[in-house]
Amino acid sequence: MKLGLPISLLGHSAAVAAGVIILPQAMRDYEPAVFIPAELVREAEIADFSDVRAAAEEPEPEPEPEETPEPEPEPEPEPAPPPPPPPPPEPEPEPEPEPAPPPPEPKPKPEPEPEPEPEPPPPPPPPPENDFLASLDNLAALRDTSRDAERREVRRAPEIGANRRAVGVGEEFRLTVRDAINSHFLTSGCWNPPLGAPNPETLNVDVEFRLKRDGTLDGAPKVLGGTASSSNQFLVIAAEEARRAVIRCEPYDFLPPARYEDWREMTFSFDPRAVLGR
Amino acid sequence: MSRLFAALLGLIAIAAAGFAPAAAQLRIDITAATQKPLPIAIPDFLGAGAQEERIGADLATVIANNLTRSGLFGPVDQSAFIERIQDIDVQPRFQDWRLVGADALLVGGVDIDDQGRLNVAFRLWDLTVQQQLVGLRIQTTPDNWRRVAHQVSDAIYERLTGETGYFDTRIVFIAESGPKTNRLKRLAIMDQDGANPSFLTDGPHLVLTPRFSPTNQQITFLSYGSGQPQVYLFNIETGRREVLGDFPGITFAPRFNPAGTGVIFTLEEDGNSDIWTMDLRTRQRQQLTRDPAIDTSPTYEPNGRRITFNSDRGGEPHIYVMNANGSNAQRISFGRGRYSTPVWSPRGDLIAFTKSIRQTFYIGVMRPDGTGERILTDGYFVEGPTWSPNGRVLMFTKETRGQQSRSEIISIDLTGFNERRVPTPGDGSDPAWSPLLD
Repeated sequence: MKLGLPISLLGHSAAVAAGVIILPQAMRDYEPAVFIPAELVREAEIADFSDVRAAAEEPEPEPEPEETPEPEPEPEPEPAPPPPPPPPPEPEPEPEPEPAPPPPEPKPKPEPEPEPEPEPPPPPPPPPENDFLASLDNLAALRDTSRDAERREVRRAPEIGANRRAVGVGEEFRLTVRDAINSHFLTSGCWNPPLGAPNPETLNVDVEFRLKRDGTLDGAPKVLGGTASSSNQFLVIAAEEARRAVIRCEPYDFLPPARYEDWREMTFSFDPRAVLGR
Repeated sequence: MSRLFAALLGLIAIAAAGFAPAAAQLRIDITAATQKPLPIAIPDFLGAGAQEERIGADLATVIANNLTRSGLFGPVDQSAFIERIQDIDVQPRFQDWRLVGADALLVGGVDIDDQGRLNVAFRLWDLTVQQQLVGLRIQTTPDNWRRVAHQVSDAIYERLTGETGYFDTRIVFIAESGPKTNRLKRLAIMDQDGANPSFLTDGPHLVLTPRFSPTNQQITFLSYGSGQPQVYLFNIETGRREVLGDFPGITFAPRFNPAGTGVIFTLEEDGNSDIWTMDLRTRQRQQLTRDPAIDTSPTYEPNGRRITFNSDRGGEPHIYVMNANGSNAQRISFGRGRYSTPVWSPRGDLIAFTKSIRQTFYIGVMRPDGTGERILTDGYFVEGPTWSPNGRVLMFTKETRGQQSRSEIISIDLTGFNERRVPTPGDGSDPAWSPLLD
């Protein structure tokens, strides 16, 4: 009787270990030949880019008219303060203030499709205790992307709610993602809008961007609506800060990899009014 | 016909089923904002020789100090830097700077040319989008390097916040020294960061309420120099001083109008105080209020159209607004307490004031129609707010309690955050903020 417990433990651990080691091995057989981790590609791109620019381009500071210091006994001859004339902004009418976002509806309790908890992104994320397939998902998120397509083939059959996919992303999912992202923004302190700016109702900014499967940005985020060149300088600043916030908060690697197609392209809507409650 | 119809239906069905739209783009409302100073890296400005290097280090220190004191920026510790900037015309290694936690990078160079002129060039980089935001050159004499630092600070502040800057400004104030029973009060002036203090009067006479002209290097203030308290005009550059006018009574609480062409003040005669203006060119005077109450502390709206002032015509001191010609005076403060020293923000959107309720004093702001009253700070004695030229920061006097009581000049942000002491030689009070030095 006493022997039973340790033997059982040993057996189970062996099985789990085998699973963790062997199963990925098995799946790896389906790997394509070439595998370039996302990080490496980005760095190489950046290095090349700046080398070229450093050599070819010499960004010139605006030369400003020299001012000879006045010879009279003034305590301080003036330094020539030269704001370079900014390129005249196109006479764009200010974008209409966006209608206030609809009040968030209370989350419906039972969710037919359980989403993984949004956790702060440690690399690599620890697999949840008793969900084997989810753990494989997490590991896979760090690796190449082509295998996901295969796994999705495998999982698509038993997936409930295939009909939902046909009509687009559900509101539940959107709210879950919204909460996860806002929580991430809060803990990481990514968005720092200027709170003292006048007329916050005019400072709504939308930023559109694409993500790779690992949650890093795919290309540069884009500010929508021509706000980047508005004649309202506070809006220009708000737009720049919104764009920076999107970049600061990457990677968005806490989003459910199984629904990558749903969060692969997103628009973040930054509205200072929502923050200040005005 | 029915076959065609069926085919059509079939097509529609196929289309509906097969046309799974590319996931309708997910739109997320971001509401999680944090109030965090923007991390900015400011390495010492480069310089070829020893003098240039020293100026380069001093510039970086003053700029970092300005930006820190604004509460909106957090300079990154220089000892954490990875890349050493060698040439400001070469792109920085953005990742190195992002690694030390910076979102922006300021690089600059100092050069003293053959004619002995100081040339400073600088670039401000946005590290997240990897673009240059500002690139400027400034030229002056070497001993004027502080103003260069303030102008660079203003350029950075403006580019990153959208507001006009306020660093290239001065504060005129009353410098106090000596025991409480025999206080020496002198008119003094300093840079807004407390540097370069100097005394404008030598002190045997009491001086109060100095105020800047908006257009030139002139101050108006109250002095007891000629026995009776009188309003004086004082030219900072020439040192020339003159009495504002020959009035039958006591004149006090003087301020310039926004055009700098006249002074508004209070005239007290036979116990009654009313508000008057005087044109500085013609010396013509005009009486604006006529009532038995005490009307004082007048200041203009930035566009010159209206005046806010303090009056106790309603029983207790409260804040009123009237047209610049004295007509249509309306009360705008209705809260509990005694309201005084109203000052109109240079942005025109707010009026700051002092309030007292029993033993406590407050500095607050309200809209010109009296709504939106908001208290920024309170204390045993706080009084006399003055606005920065961009309407974003206030300075005021604060006195501590008791035998060893001190008076200090405090600055605070419009949002009520970032309360800081402004260093003064000895005690300081009654600050007035200059406009941007051209």
